[in-house]
Amino acid sequence: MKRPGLWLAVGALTAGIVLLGAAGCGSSSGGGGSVGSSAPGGQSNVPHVNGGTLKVAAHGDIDFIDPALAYYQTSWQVEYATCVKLLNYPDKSGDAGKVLTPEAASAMPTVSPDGKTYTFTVPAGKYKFNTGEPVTAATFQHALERDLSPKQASYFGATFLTDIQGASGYKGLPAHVSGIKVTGDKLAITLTEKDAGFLSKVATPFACAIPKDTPVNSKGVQSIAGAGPFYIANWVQHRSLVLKKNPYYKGPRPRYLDEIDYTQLTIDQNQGTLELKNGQLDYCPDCVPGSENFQLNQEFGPDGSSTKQTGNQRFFITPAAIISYFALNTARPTFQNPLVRQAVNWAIDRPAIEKPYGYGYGTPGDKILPPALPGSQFEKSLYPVTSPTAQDISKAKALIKQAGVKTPLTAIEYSTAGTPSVSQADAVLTANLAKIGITVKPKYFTRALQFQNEGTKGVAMDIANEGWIEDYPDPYDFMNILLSGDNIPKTGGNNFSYFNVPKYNQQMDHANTLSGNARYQAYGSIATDMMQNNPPWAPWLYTNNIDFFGPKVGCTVDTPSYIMDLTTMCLRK
Amino acid sequence: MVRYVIRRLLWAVVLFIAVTVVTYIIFFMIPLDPARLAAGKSATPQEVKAVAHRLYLDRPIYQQYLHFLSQLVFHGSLGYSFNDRQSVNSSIFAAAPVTASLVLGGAVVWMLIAVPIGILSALKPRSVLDRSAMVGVLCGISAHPVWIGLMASYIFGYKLNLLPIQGYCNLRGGAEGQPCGGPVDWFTHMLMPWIVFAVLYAAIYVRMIRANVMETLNEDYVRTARAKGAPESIVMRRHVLRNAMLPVVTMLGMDIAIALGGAVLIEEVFGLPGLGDLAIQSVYQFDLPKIVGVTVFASVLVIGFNLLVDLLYAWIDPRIRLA
Repeated sequence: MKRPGLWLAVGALTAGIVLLGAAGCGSSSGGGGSVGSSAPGGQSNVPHVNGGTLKVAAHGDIDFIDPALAYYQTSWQVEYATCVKLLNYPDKSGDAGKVLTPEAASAMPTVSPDGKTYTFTVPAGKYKFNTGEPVTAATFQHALERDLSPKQASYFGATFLTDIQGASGYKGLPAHVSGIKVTGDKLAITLTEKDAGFLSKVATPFACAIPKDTPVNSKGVQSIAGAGPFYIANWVQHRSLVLKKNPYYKGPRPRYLDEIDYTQLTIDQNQGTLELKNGQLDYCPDCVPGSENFQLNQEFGPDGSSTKQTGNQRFFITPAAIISYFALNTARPTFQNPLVRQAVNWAIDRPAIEKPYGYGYGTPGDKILPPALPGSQFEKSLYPVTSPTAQDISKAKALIKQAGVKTPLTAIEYSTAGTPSVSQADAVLTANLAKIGITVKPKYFTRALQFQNEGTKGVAMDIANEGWIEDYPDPYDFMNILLSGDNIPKTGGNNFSYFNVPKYNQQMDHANTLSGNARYQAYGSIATDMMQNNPPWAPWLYTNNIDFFGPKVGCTVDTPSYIMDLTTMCLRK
Repeated sequence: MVRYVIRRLLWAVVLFIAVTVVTYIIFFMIPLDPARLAAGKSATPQEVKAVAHRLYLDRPIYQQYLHFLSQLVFHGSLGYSFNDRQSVNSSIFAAAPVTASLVLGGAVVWMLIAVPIGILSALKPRSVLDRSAMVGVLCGISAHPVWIGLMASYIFGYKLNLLPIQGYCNLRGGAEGQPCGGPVDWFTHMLMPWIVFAVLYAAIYVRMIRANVMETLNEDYVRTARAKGAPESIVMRRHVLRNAMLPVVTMLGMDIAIALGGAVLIEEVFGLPGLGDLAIQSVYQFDLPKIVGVTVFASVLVIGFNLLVDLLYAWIDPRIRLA
């Protein structure tokens, strides 16, 4: 009997199997696991052309081009190429890139004996905007006062500058802030209290030089001149951004390209990676999905197959000043005893917690200060950063016994919903702590709600699965913000351990008055002491920056504060 | 007919208000403080309070809603984004043409596929063409649009380099820095999204048209027309298709309207900065004005298109007018 339908069904089934096979072909992802670092900071000094246009896209977005408002990482990366500041970080990777050096200022500022007044000398005309207007001391006065103007609604900028005398109660431009004075080429900034971290704050893009006629605009200006190596020639919000060479720039920073075109923002990561692979894009700062890291490293990493053939490393994994940690709530019974918190640090399997995030995601660690942050070199590593041994677990159990607490203890963990890697990591944590008599009960929230709930005093939470990215490379931005007992408001706090030890509060306040190596040493010692005797956290990871370039790009430098440096990039010959 | 139109318009207004009220209620049921988000991670409680006041978030919900409604009715304004502080109107009007390009072009493609295949399948049931079409329909309905999109851009964009992998080019020319612009670039960038977008709908419409045509072919008036000696082309055009396509018109209007609210998946895969992408970004950022703005815009489109379809239906089919 004729059964044409049967043959068609068989044909359809065969076609389906072939299609499934095609879907399965292509890049395979390797397993998770830590990696050694790639060539640090990219590579420079390659034969290159002078000029050309770099085609860039971004998975993230550029929130504003107005320095008073911009806060996204991509925005700050752009501003590093377009801004001139009183002080700036050099176009270098590693430790050399963390040292503040004078830029518009002729030298580091003189500091008054009481440590509250910083005087900068700003030679007029040393730098000029792309319009030809010279940068002067008054330029920076305008920029700072604009940030502090209530009508500008510069939430982030104002937070960093509130210590300036007269900032609180300032009504806004055209009036002046009493603590910011200009006399000729001298700019004097007076603070309400000593703050040696002030120089790091004034080196953020909020203090970028802006033309004196830049109006106060709470919605953010849509175009702005730049005095850096590049300026923003065009911006279509959420779509594109064009940087062009500033014809008046005479500074020492490198600059090989004529133009940098962000041709697309909020690009899909998979698509962006494909375009980078075949050269349709030159650079995309956040394009690589975690599942592609292994394959890309195999091919384009420092020892990649393609790198060996062409000599051109295109894939970079670089440590960033970003920490992942479990905040242990000291205000609730479970983790009130420091010995229990020490036990947690001995018992958790940091590499295993990291594994679900995929290859190259980060480096397991146990310190409060990430390795990329100044001061980290003075903090000691005390707990296992590899999988804990039987001895480590026994030690943890002994600490629990010594604490005299009744097990099993229950710990409610607040974590982020909607991300499989997070819940898998939480499962590892749960298994780790079960071994020492702590039962973890995860509760999941959307990220914003999690953050809000954790910051509400009295919250019924014992562990917060958290992370923190530096705003500027200084230990204050981690320790005082996240661990000072002076920073525990009723709502909206960041001290999720509710850690409030007067001794450490005073030590951190004192460390903030120090500068240079003494500052970093002080913070490093405090962090070591905390983790040794009274750990507020169980830190477990420092996230990496992942960068993948098209085949034409060279001269890449990864800076500690602004990720890949746009100004040093070049097109290969 | 006039009373019918007035009645439909009044219902449209009621529906619109209901949608906006429900959106507000759902948003505020989530125990999240948008002012805290907008103020940033390092803000003090005083700073958060100031932000809440600036964003009108310290008023009772009903006052916020009435403020929003008055701005919309008297000033045509959907407010300002909490996140990027720009006018929601401008964000939507920038995104809408992109989604319109995708949906309207996709609709043309899916009808160009569905109508001839659906009719031919109905005219030659159980033939090789018919069975192949039904297999195609099954694949089109079963395969996820995201998978189809990613495979298409991988094969045709990356491997074969025939079409762009992703991205959007303005029809009227690109802004500075845009790698493309103008009708040709617009067309080549939209071709793959159109086809991927059309696959699912074409599959559904082939089945629907096939069923409608087959049912209509058996009607008495068709048999009468043939018995009177009318050529087959006239029978098909004047009697079969006109009746068979009525439900298709209804569905087409509704599908286009719904898709105009945001063809989210296709926009995400192909990097099209349309309403779907805008909706996703605004939900991630918990940006109430944009969430409400997109919802309002989509609702207006759906309600408007439905009204248009109903009026068109009444015009095509006099029986509905008289009912």
